[in-house]
Amino acid sequence: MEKTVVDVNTLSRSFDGMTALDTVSFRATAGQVHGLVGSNGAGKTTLLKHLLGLLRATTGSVRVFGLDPVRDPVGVLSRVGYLSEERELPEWMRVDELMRYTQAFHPTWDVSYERELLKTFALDPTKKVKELSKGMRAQAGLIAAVAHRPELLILDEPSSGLDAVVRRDILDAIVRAVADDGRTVIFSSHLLDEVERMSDHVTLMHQGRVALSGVLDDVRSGYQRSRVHFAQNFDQPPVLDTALAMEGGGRTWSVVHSGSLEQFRHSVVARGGEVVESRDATLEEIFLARAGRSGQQAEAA
Amino acid sequence: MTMRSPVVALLWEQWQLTRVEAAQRVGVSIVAASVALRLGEVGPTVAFGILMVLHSMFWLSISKLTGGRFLDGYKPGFPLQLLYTRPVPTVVFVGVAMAYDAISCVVLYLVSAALVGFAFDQPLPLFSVAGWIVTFHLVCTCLQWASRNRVVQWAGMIVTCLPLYLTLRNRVASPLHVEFSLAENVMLILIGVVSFAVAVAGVARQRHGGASVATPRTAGPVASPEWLVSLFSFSCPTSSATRALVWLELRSSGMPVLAIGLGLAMLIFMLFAIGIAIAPLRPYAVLSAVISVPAMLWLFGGNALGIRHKQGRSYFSSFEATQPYGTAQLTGLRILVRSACMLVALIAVGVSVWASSSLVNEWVPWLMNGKEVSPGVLRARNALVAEILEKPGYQHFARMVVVAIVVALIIASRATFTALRARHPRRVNIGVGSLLFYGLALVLLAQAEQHGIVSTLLFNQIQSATNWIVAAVLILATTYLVWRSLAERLLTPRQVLSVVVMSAAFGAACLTLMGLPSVRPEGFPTAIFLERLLAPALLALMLFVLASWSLNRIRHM
Repeated sequence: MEKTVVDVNTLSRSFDGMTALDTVSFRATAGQVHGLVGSNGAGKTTLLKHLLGLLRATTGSVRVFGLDPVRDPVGVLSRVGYLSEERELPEWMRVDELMRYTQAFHPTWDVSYERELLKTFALDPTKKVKELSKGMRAQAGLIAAVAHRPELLILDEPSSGLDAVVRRDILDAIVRAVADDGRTVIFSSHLLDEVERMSDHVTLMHQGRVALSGVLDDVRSGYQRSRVHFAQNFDQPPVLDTALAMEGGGRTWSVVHSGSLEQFRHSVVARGGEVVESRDATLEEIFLARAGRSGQQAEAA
Repeated sequence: MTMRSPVVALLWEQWQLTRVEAAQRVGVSIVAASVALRLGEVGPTVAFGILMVLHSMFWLSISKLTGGRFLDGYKPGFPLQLLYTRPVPTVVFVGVAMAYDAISCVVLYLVSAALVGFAFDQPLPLFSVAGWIVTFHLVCTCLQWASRNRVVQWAGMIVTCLPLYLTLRNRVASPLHVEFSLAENVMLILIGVVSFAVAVAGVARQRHGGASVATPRTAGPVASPEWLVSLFSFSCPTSSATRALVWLELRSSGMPVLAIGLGLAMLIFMLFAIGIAIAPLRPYAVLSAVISVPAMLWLFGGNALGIRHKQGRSYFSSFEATQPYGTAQLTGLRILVRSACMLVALIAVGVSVWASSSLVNEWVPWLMNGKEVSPGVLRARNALVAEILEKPGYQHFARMVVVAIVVALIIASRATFTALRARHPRRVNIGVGSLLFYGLALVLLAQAEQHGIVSTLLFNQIQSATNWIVAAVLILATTYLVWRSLAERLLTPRQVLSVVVMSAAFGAACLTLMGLPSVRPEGFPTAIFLERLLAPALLALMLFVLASWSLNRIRHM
C-alpha cells in the first residue's frame, strides 16, 4: 500500500474576505513528484504554506506524515526541505555559515552531498548571502533544502531566478534523485514544460480550487486537441460535447476537449462536421483550456 | 479617490503610511501630558517636555518605508526611492515629504498642547515653538536623507541637534513660557532653508546615480549595523539546533549589543575625563550618562523575536519559520539571549557611569552662564552609596533579580507588541487606543474631581472599580493564555512550570523591595492590596506566555 505523505482534506482559507483556497483536497504519496500549476493567485503558494504550517487551517485539515504541521512543527519540519519563493535567507551569513546553521537542525545532513552541490553550482562558500545574485540565492536555498535528504521536498517556484542550464540539468537531477530514493517532491511552477518534464503527478489549481489532479500521463491522455472541419460557417464557437476551449473561425476550429474521442466525434458529426486530426493535448493546452481565457470562452459558449 | 496632482498623490501616500502613528502619537501625548500636569508645580514644564519629545523626535514612519526602522534594518538615505521613477522633479517630492513630516508634527503638537492646556487650564506654549519644531524636523530629515553615511549622520546630529535643543532649553522660562528673539527666529529659518537645500541636493545625487541608493529591502531581526555583525565572526556549532540558534542570536544581535554597550561605557568615561579640561563638554557628558541606559533599551531592546518589515508588510521570515524548532523554545531562547547581552551591556554602562561620576569632583567649580552648577550625577551617586550601605544583603539580591527580570520583561513586552501588531494590526491599534482613551478619561475625571465637578465618592468608586477590572483582566488573561498554550501544545506543562517559578521569584523579589508593611498599610483596600501582591508575578507570567503565543500566531498565520 502506498504511504501517504501529504493529506489535505477540504481545506478552505480566506484572506480579508478573499477566498484563497476553496475546499481543496490533495494527496501525495511517497516517491511522487507532484507538480502544482495554476495562474497567479490560484492558491499554489497558500497550499504549500499550509503544508509547512506557515498558515493555520481554518476549515478542513492538513496532515503531513500523519501530523498536524501547526501543532507539531518540529515533527513535520525536521522531515521536510523547503525552498521559498522569496528565497529569504539571512543576509549577513556566509554561504558556509548558512549550511552549518541549517545542518544543526538536521541530524541527517549529508556533508559530502552539500559539498558536491556547492561545487556543481560553483557557489563560493565564503560569500555572504547579501552578495549573491537572485539565482545564486536560489541555489544556496536549494542546497539548504535538500542536503539533509528530506522525506518531503517542497519547492515554491524553484526555477525562478535559475538559468536554463541549471534548471534543466541540475534541478531536474536533484528532483529525480529525491524521487528515486522513494522520497516525495511537491513543487509549484508557472513553467508548464518544466512540470511536464519533472513531475509524474500534476494538480491544476484555478481560483483556489483544484481543477484537476492525477497522474500526468492519465491527465494528458484524458484531453485531446482536435482539428474540426464543418460544412457551414460559424461566427461563434459551436457548442460541442466535452469541448473546453475552441480557437479558430468559420469552418475550421481547433478544440481542446476531454473524455473519449468517440464521444467528441459523435458531437461533431451531429453539428455537420468531421474531426480532421486529433492528438493528446499538452499540459499547457489543458491548463489554458481549464484556467485561461480559452476556457472562459468555452464556458461562455 | 481622484488624485488631481502629483503633490496630492504624494501627500495621500504619506498620510496612508503615517496616520496610525499620528493617532497613537496624539493619544499618547495627551495622556502623558495630562498625567504630568497632575504633578503640581513642575507639571506644566514636564508636560511641555513630554509633548516636545513626542512630537519633535522619534517621528520615524517615513524612514520605515525602506522596510527598516531606525537601527532595525534601517538603511540611511532617501527612503521614498520609488518616487525616483515618477515624472516629478526631485525638489518637489523631497519638499512635499519634508513639509509633510515637519508640518504634521507641528499640527499634532498644537492639537495635543491646546487640548491638554485647555482641559487643565494650564496654557502651554503653542505657536512660539512651532518654528523650532519645523526647523528641528527639517534638520533631522536632511541628515537622514541627504547622506547614506552613518558617520556623517551621527556627527551631523550631534553638531546640529544638540545646539538646537540647548537653544530651546535656554528659552524655557518659569512660569512656563517660551520666546525666541528675532535673531534666533531668523537663524531657525536659515537653518531650515539650508537643510532643505542640502536634502534636495543629496537626494538628487542618489536619484541620478551620483551616490548609492537606499534600495528597499527586507529588514531582518538584526538590530545593529551589519559591519558590527560581521565583526564577531565565530563558527556556528552544528551539534544541536539550540546551540546553532544561540549562535545566530549572538551573532546577529547579542554581540553587537554588547559591543555597543562597551563602546558607550568607554565613551561616557572619556567624556567625563575630557570634561575636566574642556568645560563645554560637560553637559554632553552628563547627558550621555543620563540617557545611555534608556537609549540602549529603546534602540536595542526591540523586536527580539525577529519580525521583519518590508514596505508596510510585517511577517516572520519563512526561513526561520520552517526551521524544525519549537515556537516556545525559540521565543524563550531569543528573549533570553537578547536580555542577557543587554543586561551585560547595561552593567558595563552602569559601571562606567559610576566610575565617571567620581571624576565630577574634578569639575568643581562648574560655571554655566555665570552660575555654579551642581551635577545631579554626583548627588545620585551619593544617594546610591548611602542606600547600599543602609540596606541588607537580601534586598540587594532582590534588586538584582528584579533588574534582570525587568530587562527581560521589557524586551519580551516589546517583542510581543511587535509580533501582535504584525499579526493583528487593527485589533492592537484598537486595544491601545482604548487603553489611552480610558487613561485620558481617568485623568480628566481626577481633574474634574479636584475642581469639585465630580464627587470624590464617585471618583474613588471608579478608581476602585478600575483596580478590580485590572486585577480581573490580569488573572483571566493569564489563565486563558496558559490554557490555550497548553491546549495547542505550544507550551508543555514543564515549560509552564518554569515560567511560573520565574514569575513567582520576580513577584517575591518585588515584594521584598517594596517591603510588606508599605504594600498594605492599615485600612488599605483589598483590591489594591491583592493587585500589588499578585500584579508583578502575574504580569511577568502573562508576558512570558504571551510572547510565545504571539510568535506562534505569526509563525502559523
